[in-house]
Amino acid sequence: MFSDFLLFFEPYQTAIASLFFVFVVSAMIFEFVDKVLAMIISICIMMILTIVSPHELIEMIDFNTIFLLLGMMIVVEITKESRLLSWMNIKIVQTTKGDPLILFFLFTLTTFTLSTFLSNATTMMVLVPLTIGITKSMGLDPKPYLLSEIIFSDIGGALTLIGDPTNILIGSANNFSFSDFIQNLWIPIFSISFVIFGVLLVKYWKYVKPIDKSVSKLFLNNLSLRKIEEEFKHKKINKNFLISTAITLSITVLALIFDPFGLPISYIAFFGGTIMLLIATKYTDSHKVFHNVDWHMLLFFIGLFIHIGILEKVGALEPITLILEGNFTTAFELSMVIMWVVGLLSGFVENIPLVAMMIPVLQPLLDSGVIVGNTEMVWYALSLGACLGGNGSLIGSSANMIVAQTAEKMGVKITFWEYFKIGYPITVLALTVASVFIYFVT
Amino acid sequence: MLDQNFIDSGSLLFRETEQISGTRDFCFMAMDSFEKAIHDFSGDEISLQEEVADMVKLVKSTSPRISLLMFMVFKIAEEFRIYTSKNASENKNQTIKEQKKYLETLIHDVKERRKQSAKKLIDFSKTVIQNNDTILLHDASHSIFDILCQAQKDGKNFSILLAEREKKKNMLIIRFLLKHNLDFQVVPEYLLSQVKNQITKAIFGAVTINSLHEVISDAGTGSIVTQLKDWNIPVYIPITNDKFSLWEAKEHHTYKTKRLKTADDIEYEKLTFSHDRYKTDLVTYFITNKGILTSDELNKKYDSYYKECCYWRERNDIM
Repeated sequence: MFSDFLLFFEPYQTAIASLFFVFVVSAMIFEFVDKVLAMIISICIMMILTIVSPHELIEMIDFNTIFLLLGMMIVVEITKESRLLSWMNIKIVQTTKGDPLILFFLFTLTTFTLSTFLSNATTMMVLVPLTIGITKSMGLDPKPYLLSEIIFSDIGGALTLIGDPTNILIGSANNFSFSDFIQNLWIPIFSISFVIFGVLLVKYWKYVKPIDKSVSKLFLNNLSLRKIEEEFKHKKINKNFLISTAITLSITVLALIFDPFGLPISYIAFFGGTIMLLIATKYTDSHKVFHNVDWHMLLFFIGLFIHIGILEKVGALEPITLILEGNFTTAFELSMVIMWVVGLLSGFVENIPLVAMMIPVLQPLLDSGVIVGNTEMVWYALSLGACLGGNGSLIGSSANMIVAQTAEKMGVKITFWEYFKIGYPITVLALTVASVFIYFVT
Repeated sequence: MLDQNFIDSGSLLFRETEQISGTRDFCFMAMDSFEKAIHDFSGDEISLQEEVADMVKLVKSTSPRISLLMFMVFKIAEEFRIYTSKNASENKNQTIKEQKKYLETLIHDVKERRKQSAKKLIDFSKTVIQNNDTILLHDASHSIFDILCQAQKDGKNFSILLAEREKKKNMLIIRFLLKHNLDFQVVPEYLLSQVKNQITKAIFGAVTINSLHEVISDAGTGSIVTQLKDWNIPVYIPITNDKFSLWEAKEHHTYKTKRLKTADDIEYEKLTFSHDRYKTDLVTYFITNKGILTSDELNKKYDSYYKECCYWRERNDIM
């Protein structure tokens, strides 16, 4: 009886799977229910309707990505626990000697650099309180510094395989190595960084210009630095923990970049995380590290792989492939469309499901030989669109939201429109610079 | 020109730094920062004079005012004004380098004088702590730490009873006591009645003395001092005269805030204050850089300084 009932749904599997995907994406955008819960509900129902079997579910999950994410999360948690990031930030602030312009430059550079290796969210969670604390006590407006950090956390994350979850998805699907991303993206990313920094400098010049003509401003700046050093002295920092974390982190990052043993990147990240955890158990409770790992994010990725796998299985993605196949013949045309559409949408829609959906759409298209030119660049165009597009609005990425929420708790309110007026034009400018690069490469 | 936002930033920075480091260390940090600011200044001679005047405006406008810092900055600004006026009247051209060098010398002198005041206070404190004393502490005051170290150096045998307060300040005191191997016991600050027979004397810190003859201190000290007065336990307060607030006490040297608290799903507002205040009459002795004074002697000294500084108040527009 029940199997007869299920037979009724068989012709509608494509529609059902698509509807559930829309349901999940809506939950991400409008947050009427937790996105992971939405995924679990959808998957449960689709299993009951025999759209997918438990065995198929397991095969749909890209465990390479999951272990890479898990490994990097452990690495990040231990780095935070050892206060290595706090120590680095204090040293950077001391280097600025309170000069607002150097502070602006170094905070932007630090955000960019940390975002290439750590998750944007973690980078901002560490930097935002420090930025607000320092700028406020120096009598500076924190907003220009925060806005620059938001923008450069997304730009920096685009440069490496592990800098953004979308790059992990793209890299994993195509077996791109860590150095592949850097070799192919360093020119557009550094060009975009140079242009965007120039724009921000011009826009915020009155907030960051040198203050060496004001004794009282110099005085407050110097006193702030002394206060930060004093506060840091009172924090309990275990030197051995800090040094051992710095060494193992450096080795892990170098192994990711150079991959001397030809191992999958997920192995390196997971092994690096495991070694760091082994060392860290001497100084901290491993339960604390595991407690702070973002299991919600991992479940989200697992659910996403399953949903995309189901869409692929029921053929829901084929029409998109056919549309693209029918309208574009060169890698340049395809790259531009993908980059701009994903880029402009990513400001308002979560880029991870967008990218996850585009991968099975693009793979058969690019493998078929229909598209002529440097087809590998299509994937990097997708990466650029997804990462740079996150700058479009405050809801464009989770890191942006974290900055806004943390800043508001510390008395600095960044509204949606305030950010949009600078973020969206910056996104368009960044995509334009990237377009010039793609034109020459494809 | 200083705007209100800038002054508010300064107030926040002063409050937070003073809480972390204590008044004495905060003032030295401020002087070092002032010296560095002069060194990095790239304007001309006339601008420098205006900027020094702005520094005076800044330190007198913060909330609360920090009297020791004000004293130091005002001294520097006054001496600098005399120097530049004298040179101008003698038609001497001063280069910016000369002016900066003179200011740096003034800052250095003010710091030295402060160190000397603190040293004299320690010298006068040598007779306070006796063998077998059990001393009640409550504040993480550097002056008190110096007095205890001096007593330890002099071979005095004593123990500490620490009236427990908020964790941060508590741990500062406990770390000091452990570092110097001083015998101590912690008791809740609200249950001193249970240990009053053990206490031979109390030494508490003070931020300043104001024109109402009130001691401004860390939060919570006032009620303890009142109790000790009732129990006839001597209370000693170390304070140098450069920490006196020599203006009319209109504000209460406290920064008041409201915090939203939640407990058992109930939200309520709690008023918090940065400092406490109580009458100098409740104190048995003040240990100063001019000697150990009773409260009456201290009040007389304060009043004479207050009269002497009338010109200084008018000149700097401090009411």
